[in-house]
Amino acid sequence: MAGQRFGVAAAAEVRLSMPEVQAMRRVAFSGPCGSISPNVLKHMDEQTLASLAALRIAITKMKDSDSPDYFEKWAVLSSPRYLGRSSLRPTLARFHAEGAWGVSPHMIPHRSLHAISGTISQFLRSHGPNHGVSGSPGHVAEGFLAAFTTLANLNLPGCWLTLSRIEPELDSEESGSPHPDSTAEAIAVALVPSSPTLASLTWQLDTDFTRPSEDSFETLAKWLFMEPTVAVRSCFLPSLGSLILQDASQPPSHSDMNPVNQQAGVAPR
Amino acid sequence: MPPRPVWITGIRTCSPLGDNPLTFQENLLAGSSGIRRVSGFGVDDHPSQIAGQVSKIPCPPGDHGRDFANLSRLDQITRHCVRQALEAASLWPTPPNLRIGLVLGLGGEWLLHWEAEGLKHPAPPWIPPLQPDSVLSRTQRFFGMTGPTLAVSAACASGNMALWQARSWIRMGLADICVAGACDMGVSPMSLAGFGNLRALSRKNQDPPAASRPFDRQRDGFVLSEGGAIFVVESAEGAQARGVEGLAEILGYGAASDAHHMVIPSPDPAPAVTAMRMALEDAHLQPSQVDYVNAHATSTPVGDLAEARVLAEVFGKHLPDVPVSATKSITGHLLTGASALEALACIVAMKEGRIPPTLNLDDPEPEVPLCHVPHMAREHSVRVAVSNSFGFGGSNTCLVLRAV
Repeated sequence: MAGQRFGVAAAAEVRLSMPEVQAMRRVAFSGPCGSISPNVLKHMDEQTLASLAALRIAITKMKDSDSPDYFEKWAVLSSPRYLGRSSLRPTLARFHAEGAWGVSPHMIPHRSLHAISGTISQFLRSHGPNHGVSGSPGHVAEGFLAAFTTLANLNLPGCWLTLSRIEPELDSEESGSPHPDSTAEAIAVALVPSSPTLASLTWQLDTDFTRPSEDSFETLAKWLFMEPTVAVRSCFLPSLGSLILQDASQPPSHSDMNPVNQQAGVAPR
Repeated sequence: MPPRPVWITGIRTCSPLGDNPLTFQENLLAGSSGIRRVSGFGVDDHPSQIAGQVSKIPCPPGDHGRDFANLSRLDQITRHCVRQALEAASLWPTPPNLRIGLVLGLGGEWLLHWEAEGLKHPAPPWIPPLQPDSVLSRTQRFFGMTGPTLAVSAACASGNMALWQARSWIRMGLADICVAGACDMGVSPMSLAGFGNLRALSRKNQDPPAASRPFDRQRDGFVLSEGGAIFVVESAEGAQARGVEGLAEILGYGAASDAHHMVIPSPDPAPAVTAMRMALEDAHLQPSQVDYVNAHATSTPVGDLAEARVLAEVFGKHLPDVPVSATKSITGHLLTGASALEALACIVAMKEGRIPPTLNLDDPEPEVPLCHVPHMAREHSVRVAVSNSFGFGGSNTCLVLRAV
C-alpha cells in the first residue's frame, strides 16, 4: 500500500517541572482565542496544563493563527499516558476519610481520557470533533493513528494532536503527587491536509500492527525537533509504522533521509 | 465513485437489560427497567443510590473460568462481547488470513483500575499501580488480531466514534474486519460519588425504575449504569463474499464540539445541529427520510431541553412526524458504553419494526413538542435510524444507521 501524506503546520514540545506546573495554575492562561482562569486551571491534570503550554507555543509558529476564529473548524485529539494517576491517591484518601462527600466533582471532568481534548477545544473555540485517545503506553502511535484517520475521512482544515505523559511516573514516594524530579511532558502537533508550502508528513501504510505498543514519546520528540538542517527524516513507531517528515523546501530524496530511529535505539524495519 | 458500503454483521451486548441481544431486545421493547438500588457497595452516604448494574458477566465458551474470574470486570465484559460478536458474525474460530482491527470506547479504564486497586488498600502508603498494557492490547493479543487497534473516548459519545473509526479503517483498507464498540463498568463508589457531587445524577432514590425520565418535566438527572455493546464491522462486499447477512449499514456520521463547558451543554444548539446535519449529509439523506431518532436525552434538566431544540432545528416542519425515544429511561446511562448500546437499540427498532419507548414520560417538556413514544413500544417501520450521543468535553456526535 502507498502512504498517506499530511502537512505539519507547527509543532512544539514542553517539559515542565512540577513547580512550573503549579505556577501555571496561578495565572490566567491566555491565547489568541481566549483565556482560562485560575479557578479552572487549579482543577486540571498536570498533563492538561503541559498540553496547553505546548499548544500555545506551537500556535505562535503558525502564520495567521492569531485570529480568534482561526481554529474554529479544527479537530482536537489528545493522547495522554496514565492521565489522572497523580490525583487518584489523594482522591481515594479523602474518600476513605470522608466517604462519598469527599470525592471532588471535578475529578471526572478533568481526569477522564477526553479531558485534555475537551479543554483545548474550549480554549481554542474549536467546533470540530474532539476526543481522547489511548491513555496507555502506546499513546504516541495511537494518537497519530487517530489523527490520520480523522484527517483522511473528515473534511477538516486541520487537526491538533497532543501527546503527553508524566516522566518519570511516580513509583515509590508516598505523597501521592508526582515525584519532585518528574516533569509533565507534552508535544503539540498541528496536522493539516497536505500542502506544498508546509513540511509534509508521510505515513507508510505497509504496517505490521501486531508489533507490541510502547511509549515512543522520546523517539518522536528526537525525530520531530531535530536539527532543521536535516531535510528528510524517518521514524519508526511500533504498532504504527514509519513516519517520514520532509521540509517543504526540499524535494523528496532517499539519499539524505536520516533514520532517527537508529539514534533512538529503535531498529528500523 | 460512492464510498464502499460498510455493514454491521455481528453484535454482542451485556447490560442491565441482559447479557445477549435477544434478552436485551425483549426487555427494551417491553420497557422493563434495569434500574435498581445499588448493590455490591454501601451507598447510604451517596446523594444518588440507584443504578443499572450488570450482575454477572458470562465466561465465553472455551475460556478457562478461573482465568476469566481473575480479570477486571472491564476486561471480562470486553472479552465476552468481542468473543460472542465474532461468533455472531460467523468469525469464530477466527480465520487466520483476515486483518481484524479493534477500536474500543474506553473513557475511564485507568481511573476504574486504580480505584479498584485503591479500595483494596485503604491504609497508606499506596501508589496507583502501573501496568504495561491495557484492555485494548490484552484484547488484541487474546484474539490474535492483526489489524490496527485504538482506544478512544468522547465520553458518552465514544461508541458512535468507535463505529465511525471502524468504518473509516474498512474504507481506507487498513483492516478487512473491524471489531468496534464501547463498554464501561462505571458503577463504582467513586464514580457514583463524583457524578453525584457534580449534581448530575437523579436523587429519586425511593423509586428507582421511575428515576430516569428523559424529556419529562420532573426529571432531575441521569441514572448511572454500566455495560456496553460490541459490533463486527466489515465491507458489504466482504460480508456478501462470506455469505453473511448485514444487520445494518453504517451510513452516516457527524461530530462537532460545543467549545463551551466541560460538563454543561451549550445553550447554542449550533454545534449539535452541525453534527446531525453532517451525519445526514454523509448519509446522503434528507431529514424527512429519518424514521426514528434515538435521542441522547439523559434525563438532565438542561441537556434534554437543549437536545429538543436541536431536533426542532434539524427536522423543522418534519419534527411532528419523526418518532423520538430515549432508551436511557430503561437502561440508565452507560457513560462510555451508552452510544454503543443505543446503536443496538436502533438495530432492534429496524429489525422488529417497533420503536422502544421512553419510560416515565408522564408530563412532556412543553417548550419543544416532539413526536414522543411514551411508556410503550410503538409499531413503526424503521429503515433509517439516527442515534444522537453528546458527551462531557462538549463532544456532539450523530450516527445514521440503515436497515440492510
